[in-house]
Amino acid sequence: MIVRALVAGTLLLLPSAVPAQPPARDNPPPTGTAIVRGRVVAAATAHGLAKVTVRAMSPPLRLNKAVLTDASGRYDIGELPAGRYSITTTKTNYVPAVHGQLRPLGPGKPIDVANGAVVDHVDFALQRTGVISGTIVDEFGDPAAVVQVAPMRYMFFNGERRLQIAGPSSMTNDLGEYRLFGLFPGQYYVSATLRNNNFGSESTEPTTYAPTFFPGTGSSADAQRLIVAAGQTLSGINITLIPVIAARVSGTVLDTQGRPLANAGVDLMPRVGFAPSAGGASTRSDGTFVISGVPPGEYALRASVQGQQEEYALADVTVAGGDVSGVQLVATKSTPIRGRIVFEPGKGKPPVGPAVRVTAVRPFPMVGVPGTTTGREDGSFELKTASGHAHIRAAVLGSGDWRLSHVLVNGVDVIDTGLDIPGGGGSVDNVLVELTSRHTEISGSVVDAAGDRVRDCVVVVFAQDSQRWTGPTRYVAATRPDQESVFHARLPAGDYFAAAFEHPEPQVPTDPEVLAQLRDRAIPLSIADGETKKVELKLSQPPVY
Amino acid sequence: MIAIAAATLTLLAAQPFRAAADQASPRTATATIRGHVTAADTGQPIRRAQVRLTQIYPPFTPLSIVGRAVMTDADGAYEFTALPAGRYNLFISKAGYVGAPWGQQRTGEGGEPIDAAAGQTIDHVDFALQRGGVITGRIFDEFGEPLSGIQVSVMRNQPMNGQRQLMAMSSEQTNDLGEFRIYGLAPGQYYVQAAWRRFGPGDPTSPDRTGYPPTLFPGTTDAGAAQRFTIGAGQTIGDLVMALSPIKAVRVEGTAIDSNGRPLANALLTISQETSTSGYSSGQSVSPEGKFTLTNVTPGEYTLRVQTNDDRKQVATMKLAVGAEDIRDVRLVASPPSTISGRIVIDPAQAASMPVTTFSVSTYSVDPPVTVYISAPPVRVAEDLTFELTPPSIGRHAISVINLPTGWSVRSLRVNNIDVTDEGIELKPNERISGVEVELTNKATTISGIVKDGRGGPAKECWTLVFPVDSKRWKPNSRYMRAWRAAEDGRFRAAGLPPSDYYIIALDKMEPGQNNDPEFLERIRPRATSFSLVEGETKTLELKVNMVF
Repeated sequence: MIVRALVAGTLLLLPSAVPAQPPARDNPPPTGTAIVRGRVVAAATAHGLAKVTVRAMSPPLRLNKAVLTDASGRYDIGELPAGRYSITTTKTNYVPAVHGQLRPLGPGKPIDVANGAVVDHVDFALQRTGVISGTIVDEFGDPAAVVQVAPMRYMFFNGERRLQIAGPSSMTNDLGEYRLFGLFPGQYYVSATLRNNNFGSESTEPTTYAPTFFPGTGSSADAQRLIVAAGQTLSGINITLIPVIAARVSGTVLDTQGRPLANAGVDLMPRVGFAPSAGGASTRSDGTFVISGVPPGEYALRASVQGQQEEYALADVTVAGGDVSGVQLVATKSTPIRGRIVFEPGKGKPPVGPAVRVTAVRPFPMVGVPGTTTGREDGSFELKTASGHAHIRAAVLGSGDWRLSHVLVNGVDVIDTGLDIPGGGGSVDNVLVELTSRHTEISGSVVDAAGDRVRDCVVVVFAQDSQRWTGPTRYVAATRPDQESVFHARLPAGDYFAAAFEHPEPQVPTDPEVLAQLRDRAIPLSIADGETKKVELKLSQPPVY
Repeated sequence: MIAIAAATLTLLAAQPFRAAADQASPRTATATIRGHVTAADTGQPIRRAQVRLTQIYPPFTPLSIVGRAVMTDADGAYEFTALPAGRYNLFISKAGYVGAPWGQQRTGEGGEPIDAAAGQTIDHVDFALQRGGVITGRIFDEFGEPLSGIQVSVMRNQPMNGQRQLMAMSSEQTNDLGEFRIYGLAPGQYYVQAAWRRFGPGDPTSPDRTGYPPTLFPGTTDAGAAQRFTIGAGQTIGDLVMALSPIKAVRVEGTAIDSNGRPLANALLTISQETSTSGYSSGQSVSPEGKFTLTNVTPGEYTLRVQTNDDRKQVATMKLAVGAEDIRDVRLVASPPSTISGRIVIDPAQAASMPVTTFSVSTYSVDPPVTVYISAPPVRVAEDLTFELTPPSIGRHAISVINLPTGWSVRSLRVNNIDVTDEGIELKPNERISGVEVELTNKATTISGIVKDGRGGPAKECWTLVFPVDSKRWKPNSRYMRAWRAAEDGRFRAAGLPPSDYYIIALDKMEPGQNNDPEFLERIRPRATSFSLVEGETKTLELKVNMVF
């Protein structure tokens, strides 16, 4: 079962057997008399670790029971019915562990618990999460304070590969020092961005600092990849900020009637990436604004009036070293998209309207325009979003039993093509969002050269038609085998390729360059609507990216 | 978790300005202000310090403040050119040093403005930056494990709203080693507090039911027993180590329904905890069945708010007292939001001189600031001058008008012809108040004059206070109270005081916030000069500086 993330960010990758939270309506969880116990220590010191959350999970039993370790690291999970359980641990600043895993963050080995049995010595040695630390200096070698340093990773979303913030950032102190902690093992890049603190005043400084990547480049392509192992501290990751020409971006904001809009907040957001804002200002009484200290880059300029969520103004601005003046932002009302949510008759009772989230998905995050709503009790919905091209997506909160099958506008299914949303007071009405509980699925197992089942790998299933590799596509899926070493991928009917390879990193690459590589080592297969196709895949070479 | 800083003005600074104002046109934007920045202890130039300049004259509205910022170069030099003639404030800052306004006499006090005439170059506007103090330390849990994500605040015992309270000056979060470093502190006496705040949706399946109370060094929840640290200029105090003792953190479960009893599906629920100086809140969605669960709630007073973001328009606010037991049956019953509707009125005789303007209105609180107040989202006043405001907070509100032209102010606030200018409009849940009138006037009162010192020359560096005779009006933010630092020539001018009877006094020194302290006002009253103002009156006064004992 795959759960797709509908909002911009990573493609949510969950192991196939997701331990779903029992809905509130369900009966209380089953109990028994079995006990699972053990001890949790810190791997580095071998001392017992207190207050670790140890969890016994059994998806078939819908059971999820957690306890805390005591001062010596011991725990005891009792009253368990017979079954097969994954035992996991979590504690802040320690890498989450699953009993029986062969590598940090790898799949674990569930244990079988018989009726009334006592399973002892289910022990753990927890590694601390990783740390990256260093100093940021300016071009004179002086410590640079108030610089936001962030860990970055490549994320794959809608057929694009993008460097995104992958954890909490750290602000440098007066000594220019930063410390990124709580990092899970994996590959990272480090970026340093000076916060633009010129809100409310115009800076006449000719230079500012562009976001700079370790070891000291403004280009993400030249950024150095750092590998952080469990419990490892990478220190001395120092960056010298690169001065760039500071530009001024100025213009006017007009309201929907074309009158100057005073006291509006104007915000400059980088189009690509990660810095929260490259600067902002409030418009004056004549509607004009000046944002100074802007490094070169591509931006989306957004104006908003406090409390007014229905009106928005957006403009694209490219800063290439010189000032940009005369930008005009004209507020428009967001466009309503109205329609109904319907459920294809099938097994099970359909959920209520308020349990369905409907979203207008854009090519890149459209800042400031909600574009999402939930259904009403009568199944109708209305969402408001900016004009432009968007895809409608819908999902049921907290459950994977229902999935989107059709989006009909005037009888035409636009689920894959998307639709053009008009501006200027228009609307889109009579949209039919159809969900079904009938699933089309590819499932199976992955074997290695010796013919043994492999659990620690990823499976990527993708359309044979490369046109379907980009945008908010429904035809590309990445998943991992579950507790039983079986993988499941739910996709619309069609012709696909499927490939399996080892990939310890959590983010699975699914952009077109990688899919083109996988095509050579994938097997073709086709699924019909409602079919469950079983397949056995051989482990192949991982793609290079 | 979002921290909202409370904006409580402890000092209302009137803007002394001269009658004739130069327009800021390019032809007259020819003044220059420049200087050097050095380190106070070594005399070495400081590079990349930020100098911020704000214009306070000609008379400004918040929308036309000219603010500029430059960085000092390798020699510590900075320069602002092409300035219109006017009066300016300068502020210097650099991480690791104590930020200060130009002309500051004592740490923590206000500075002195600079007057620049057309074509004038004002040189040697120099700053000697004091190194900031530093406090470092580590926080551990009851098992000796370092605690990350703890907010450590450095606090001062400050007068505020007539009382002394611990106010956070600066804070930092601890890292994975439990370490914190707070820098840039002005010399003074401080307390250090570690706070753990995790209330919010959390993980309802988590078995962890403990948290930590805000704890002051060396390890107490009682402000009276807290250790006071004295920091000299540039001094570092560390390594302060403290272990926190756990307390019970409970779960709060409940439902939110609308005025018809239906679940308020997917509404936004906010839980917040407010101190007198700051607020912390966490937001989450109510489930499709109208249910919510909050975890990690330590004992204390909270406010729950729920609101819908779509066309259902329902809101509810509720105070929640949390003890040591789980709470399972919170019931939030929402109703349509309370509104204040009315219109702006202008005396027809004055209306002719009002320039064509689009106004917006918002609200501010008339209640004493014991909780964080959220102003109503500004709404545009319609062509016929009517408006409808939806204040998110209950309480007593006054109405502010945004984008008033220069010289205009709010004369009075009336509800159904009853004057509520000082009391404000009391708004309860699910209440709609109409018939509100906001009257604007350009006939403001003006007082002006000069403060002289003992030798008969202009008094510099003194404070002038205006406060009403009626001691019931001695409230912070009161429009009857003003305080300002004298200009170079001892002259002052203050406009817009409501017609009433007043005291005015010039003092040689004053601590920030003292002018809001009724005991202080009572002490100086006998030496103050009294005067009264009627509508539109202009009065000139001459004052002598008084020594404060």
